[in-house]
Amino acid sequence: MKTKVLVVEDNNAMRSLIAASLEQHLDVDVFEAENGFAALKMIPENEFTLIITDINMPDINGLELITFLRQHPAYKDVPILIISTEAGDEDRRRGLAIGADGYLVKPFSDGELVSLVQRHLP
Amino acid sequence: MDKNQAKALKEFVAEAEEILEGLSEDLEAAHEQFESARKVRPDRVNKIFREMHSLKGLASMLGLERITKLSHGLESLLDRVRMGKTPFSPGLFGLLDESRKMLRQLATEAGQGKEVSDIAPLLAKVEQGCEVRAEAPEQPSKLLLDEQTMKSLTEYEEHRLRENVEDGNRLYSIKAGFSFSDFDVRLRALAEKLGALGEVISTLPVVDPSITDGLHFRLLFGTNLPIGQVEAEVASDGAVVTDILPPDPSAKAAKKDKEPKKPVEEPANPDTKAATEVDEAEDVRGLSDSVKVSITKLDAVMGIVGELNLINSSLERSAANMAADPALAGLHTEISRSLRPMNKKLDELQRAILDIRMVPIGQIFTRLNRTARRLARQANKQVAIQLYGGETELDKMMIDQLVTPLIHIIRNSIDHGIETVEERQASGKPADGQVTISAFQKGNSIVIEASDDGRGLQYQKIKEAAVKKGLVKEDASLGPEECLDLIFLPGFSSSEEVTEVSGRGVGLDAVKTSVEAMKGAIAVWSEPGKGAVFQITLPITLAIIQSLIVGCCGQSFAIPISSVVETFLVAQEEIDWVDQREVYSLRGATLPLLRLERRFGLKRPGEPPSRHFVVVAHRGDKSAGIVVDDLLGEQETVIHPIGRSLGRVAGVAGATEVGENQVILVLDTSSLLAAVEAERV
Repeated sequence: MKTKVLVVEDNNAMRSLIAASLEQHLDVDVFEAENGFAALKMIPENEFTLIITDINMPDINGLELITFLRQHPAYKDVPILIISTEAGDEDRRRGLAIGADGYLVKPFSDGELVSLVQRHLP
Repeated sequence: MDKNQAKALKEFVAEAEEILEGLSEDLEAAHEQFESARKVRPDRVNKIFREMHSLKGLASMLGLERITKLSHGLESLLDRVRMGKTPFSPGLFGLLDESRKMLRQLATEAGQGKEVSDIAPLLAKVEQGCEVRAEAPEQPSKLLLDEQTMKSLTEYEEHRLRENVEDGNRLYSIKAGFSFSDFDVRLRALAEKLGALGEVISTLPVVDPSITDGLHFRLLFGTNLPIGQVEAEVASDGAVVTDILPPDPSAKAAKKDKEPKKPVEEPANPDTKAATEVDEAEDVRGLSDSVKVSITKLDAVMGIVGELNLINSSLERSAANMAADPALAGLHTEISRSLRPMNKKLDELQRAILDIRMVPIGQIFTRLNRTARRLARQANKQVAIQLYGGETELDKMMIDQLVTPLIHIIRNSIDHGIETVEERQASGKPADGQVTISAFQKGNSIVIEASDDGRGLQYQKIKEAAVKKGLVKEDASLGPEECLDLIFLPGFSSSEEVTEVSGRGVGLDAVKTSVEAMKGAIAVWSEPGKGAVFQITLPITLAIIQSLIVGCCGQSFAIPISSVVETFLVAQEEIDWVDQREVYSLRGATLPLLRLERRFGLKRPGEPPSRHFVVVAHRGDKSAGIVVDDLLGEQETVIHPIGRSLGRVAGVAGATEVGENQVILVLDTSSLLAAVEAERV
């Protein structure tokens, strides 16, 4: 079975671009969630190996999603990467404090994305 | 540029356009809020920030340097604004709007291959904007909040939490569990309900090992409502509410202390103005010769004028009584002489206040135009939108309430009226469909027409659909116009199937309801194959209306002048009977008549008079005569809503005072006439 990666990002174009570059460069299946709710629905049905999430999203933000995942028995050790903005340094710090494993600061290149994900895949 | 890149760029332009459209709407709404309340709702500010954030993310992925740079600067600025670090000001709105236009220009340029516009001057302004600082935020308060929730708050949410505490709001933790299949829908519904009562600051999903098929959420909610009321609101969702802010009298006191610090528009005193304040005053100066007032305050002033009018008319009556007494005749002349100019001044005062409430309808035209273009794009149709009469003035309250019905009508025109390009060409029409909105004043009314040159409404199909829904009998003989009226019936469009068949009528009953709530009327005409026209007629203002006072069976009623076409006197024997209904032949046309005593079950003291007054009222393009005993005069009336039990009586719009503390009913001619038409069907 291929490695499953979940990308949670509410910006459609951004999400597709991330998914496209991951699938192009790595041997992974990328699942896309357009918001926290969609992610919550997908989490129990799939065993994701790695999760990438944006912070600023409506309804449920990235930090809340991380808090949830870290409590979840099946996801307490799964690597979580944050997509962050330069202005969002405080939120990025908070994300890492509650258990995220790494982060990307927009704008990032394909190379940066792929190498960070690669580093966190088992 | 390779093929993929070209495709990505094309997608970018479409998406950027969408984002910028949303941004434009949100900025407009925020500006309105700011102008009327000096404050912008935090969810709106956050949405604007997020839109800019999305745009920046998109642009940077594609290496669009200028859009990225500018939107990045704006994102930082908006981040400061939503965190309360930089205050809103008219200058800031100007800057944001200028930036939005520049971003749109750049997106267009990017689509054509290269960004060329110079962003340096604008970027400098944006950076300057970031330097404007609000008062230092206060220290975070102590909260009885669990660590998990606290830690998963973003910086922005923490700021909102602080703001709620500073505003003296209560803070509650609301725990709710939902089944896995529909938690998103139900949680959104709950959040929406709460959002109307306060602010949902954060939503944390929690893992509960005891729940296997559902999800629990902990919402952080700020509001000024007591816990009991919040509990009552969320009881149906099975949610548990906990107060997490212990009663703290100093919070309220702090709020009171803060109030006077709010920006107040006062002309700065040049003598005391320090030199360093000159720059900061820049923003304020633009507004120094205008004051924004909320409609409620204006309503209060209008109410006082209404009362003055009542006092005035009672004075006039007293004066008239004096005239009857020869001993007081001299005094009467004297009082009348003073009363006349007072009357005139009162009239002027009323007009001046009304004038303040009036705004040009053009204010919403831009929004309509934008929405129409988006709808056309979504429906994949070529539509040219024409807007006329933007300078026509209408009560501010109505302008706001008009947007939704008009969008509804436009959507109908684009979705169902306008044909595809192929269809249009086949029937010899120009490829571009036309949707025209025009507004104009007609007597005491404002008329807004929305027309299209599409396929029109199909009478037979409308009737078939209505028969199917049980709204009319199959053998009912309906003229084309009566068929068209069916589309406004509640229930006509509730079924998908009917909508498909009729091709029209999506929720038009809702449109009708909101138009009637504004004391207006809606009518429709259509010529199959040629198009359709929806016409909304509204009184110029809701605040005060000129009414005709009529008498019937010893009681008085007010009829809004705006719906009166003419009045005349008839003798009982001139009234004819057709189909068991009373009618009058007016200049060759048959005018259906309606008797108030029959409609409202009034008891007549004594014999019916041998002659009647007929008040011809119109509803859209239809008219009917209301038969009354007397015409008692015209009066400016302020309509007051009446209690629920009477409010449900068709034909009554409200109540009004007519001096000497006498209260009479104001007739709603639109629903009275609708009843006449219904009888005919």
